[in-house]
Amino acid sequence: MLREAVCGMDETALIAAAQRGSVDAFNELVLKYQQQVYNLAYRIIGDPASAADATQETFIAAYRHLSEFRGGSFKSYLLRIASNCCYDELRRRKRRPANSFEDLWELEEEANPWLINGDEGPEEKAERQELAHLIQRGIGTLPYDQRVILVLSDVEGMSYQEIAEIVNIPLGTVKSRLARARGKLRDFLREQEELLPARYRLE
Amino acid sequence: MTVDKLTGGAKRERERLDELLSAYLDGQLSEEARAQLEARLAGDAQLQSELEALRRTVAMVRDLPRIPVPRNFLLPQTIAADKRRVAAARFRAAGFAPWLRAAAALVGLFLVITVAGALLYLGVPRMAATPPPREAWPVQVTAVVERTILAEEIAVTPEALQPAPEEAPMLLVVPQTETPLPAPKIPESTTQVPTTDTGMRAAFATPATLPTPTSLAAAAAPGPQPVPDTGELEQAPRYVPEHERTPVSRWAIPLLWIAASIGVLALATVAFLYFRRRR
Repeated sequence: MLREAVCGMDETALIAAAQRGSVDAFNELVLKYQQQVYNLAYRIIGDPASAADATQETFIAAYRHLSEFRGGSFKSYLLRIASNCCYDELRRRKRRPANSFEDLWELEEEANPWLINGDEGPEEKAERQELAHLIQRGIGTLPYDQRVILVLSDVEGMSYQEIAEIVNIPLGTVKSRLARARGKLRDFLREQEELLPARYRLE
Repeated sequence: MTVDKLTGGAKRERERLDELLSAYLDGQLSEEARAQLEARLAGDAQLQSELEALRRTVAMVRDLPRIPVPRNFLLPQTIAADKRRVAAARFRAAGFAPWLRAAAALVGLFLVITVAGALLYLGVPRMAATPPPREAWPVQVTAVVERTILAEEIAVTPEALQPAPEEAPMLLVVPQTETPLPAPKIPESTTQVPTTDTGMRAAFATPATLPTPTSLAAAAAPGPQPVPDTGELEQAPRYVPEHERTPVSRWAIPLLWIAASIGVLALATVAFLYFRRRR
């Protein structure tokens, strides 16, 4: 199928074409969702390189299992695969421990140009970096099942219902895991208060 | 104050409260629960500060900037061919799955037969020392035979349990069937009543007949351990000397089974490894 042919298609048509084997149609979907999948992976894993690996794995697995997708939300389908791929990636990292979150401090700046904002002064920039780094470290301290739910809810902005579908757990469990994750993160930020920029302190 | 420093009850209470506050922040409380919490918040400064801390925590996570992708994650065109190959491999594996299942069933069957064979051929000498009540025997033996599908080889039925002359175990009996012995040639035939002779012939004509429990006991414990009360039955097979027959008869069949089982197991393992690698 020619590339031009997939350009004007809506999502359902793209999925149908991809299910018939069109890689171009699937790549349109990749372009649409890669930002979201990569962000989810980055926030769950906390490392740019591993997040990129997990993202690529997600799209490969999504393409291979596309015949199992039977309608519904394609985003939920992708994020479900992504959360599984992140879990696998974290387990791989555990077997060969790479950089800790501490070591990522330097890496993060290079890898994430969003940390550099031309409009803000050096002090503000440093504060923003510090805060993002601290929150990412806090997310990293959460157990995996709580971390995924916190990221899906508060980073990706998914509803309780969507999260329940993605993670395949009851709504009540989503609610309690999310509350526990938020509570733990709040406690972590309180403990690290001296590292938190003054205007972001919780008390 | 962290959750770790709290006691179990206080920790649970705090988690319950967090759940309430967290759901409140997301607008997930029922009208009634929301009104209750708001009334409680109005008079509780501590709870208000908890809610505020939680709200700020959530806000900070939500404000985390989107990270641009380091590269595009487009799939190469070759993945379509890969997918077809994977699908074909799965199909092949699915096609072979029944064969693998059959092999597994065969291995299981061999295992059961081996165990049963070991029981029948090797377990008997020990049983002979303390023979169980006669009534209990037929049930026990037929049960084993039914389970192991040994029927074509050894048929133990209540009819077969009539007092029969001792048969030589199968391996050595089989050749004898081709040269039936004329009755007059047996010198001891004077002492052996004709019924014994016909019984013997019947046994030779149908080598599949299993010895009765008592004769089994006698057959399994011949020579070195003479069994006192089976003296009469011991007399019959004069054409196959006992010292030649006992060691072979006791070990040959179980060993054959074990060898065959190992063969089937090895085949199944090789097949499994081969197909797994192909996948």
